Amino acid sequence: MTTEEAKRILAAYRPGDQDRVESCFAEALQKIEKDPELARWFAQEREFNRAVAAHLGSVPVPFGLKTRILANVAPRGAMKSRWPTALTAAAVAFLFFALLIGVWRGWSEHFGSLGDYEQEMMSFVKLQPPLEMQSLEMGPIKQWISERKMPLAEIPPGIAAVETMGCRILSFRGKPVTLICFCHGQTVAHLFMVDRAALPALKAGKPPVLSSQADWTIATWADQHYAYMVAVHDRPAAARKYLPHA
Amino acid sequence: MPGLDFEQLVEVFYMPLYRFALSLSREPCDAADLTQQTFLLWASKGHQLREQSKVKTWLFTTLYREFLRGERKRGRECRSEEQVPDLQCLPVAASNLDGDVVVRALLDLEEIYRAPLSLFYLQEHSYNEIAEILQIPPGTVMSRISRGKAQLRKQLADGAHQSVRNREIA
Repeated sequence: MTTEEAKRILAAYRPGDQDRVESCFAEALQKIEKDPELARWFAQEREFNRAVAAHLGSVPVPFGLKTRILANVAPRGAMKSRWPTALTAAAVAFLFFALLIGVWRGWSEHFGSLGDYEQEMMSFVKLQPPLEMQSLEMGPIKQWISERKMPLAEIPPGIAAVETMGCRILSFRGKPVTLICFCHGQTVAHLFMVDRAALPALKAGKPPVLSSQADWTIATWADQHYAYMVAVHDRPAAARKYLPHA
Repeated sequence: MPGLDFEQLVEVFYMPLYRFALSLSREPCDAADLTQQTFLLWASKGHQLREQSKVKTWLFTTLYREFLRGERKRGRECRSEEQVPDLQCLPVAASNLDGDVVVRALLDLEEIYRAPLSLFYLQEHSYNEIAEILQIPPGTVMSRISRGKAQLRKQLADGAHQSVRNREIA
């Protein structure tokens, strides 16, 4: 085995020591003991590997990605449950009784809380997801949404007056969410619409509730059929003009 | 990884999968979509996997296939190895490496080197696992890791790599 061959093989030797027992590395590792130059190269190589692995392993992952995956991907018997059958049956029975005595209502509110919804929808916006349909006019956007039978309510006049960019369908706890993006100068406003049943905690007919997430202003409200959320990368005062009753 | 439920599976793998996806697509948005798509496929097809110990390989293989499928749709083809010239291995002091510079240099590599190198560094896959994920012979994995590192060192030594965000992807 030449030094170059040994280097080519040892390049695939992992930063840890897991590969010490791998037979394909044995000859190259033996050669290190007899070749000081190769040993010096290998020591530098491992130091380089450890540094690169540490840097790549610390690349930030978008906030909310895990929540987004869990919210959008409903496993269909993907893995075997660890619960014994009896325990599962007991859980099913408990759920049944919970439904009967009205506990379920509280649970569904917990699992579909307004805070979760706001956080997940904001994680989408911050990821800047590509729009599935792009148009500068509301007409084609409405048509695209209607054809797919996705949530589409009356757009609040304040935001309807702004130029559109496009739309995308998202999901929250299995319910489709329509996202329409608007552009007003340098400001982009995002309008989310979902069936109100997805957010039972949001009471219909109340004025929009404003909150902030970092530099963003979020407003939420509901009517009889839909829950609305507007997210604007601006101060609350600037966001108010997009809201109903503004 | 036998015995993991879906949420635990996501918890264990979503970050390395996202980082692998980012190394392939070079776009955070596309990487997030690829990661989500991988778990979506797991949710619908994962139960067909007979060997639960192969979950990690299945997830990374699926993500890589989805990436290639997307590239084919966009009409992008990866360069073959024969077209890439050999590079002399340049010395680079590990202690002087800046994290952002390393990541940008890796993202600027040819895809045939970026994929095996990312797998090698991100989740410490063995060369056999990398071969299985990328569907190439183990010997080719070794060659690509070796040549990929030489390219990476050259980029770092030259300091000539540009930010991937400003790069016009052909």
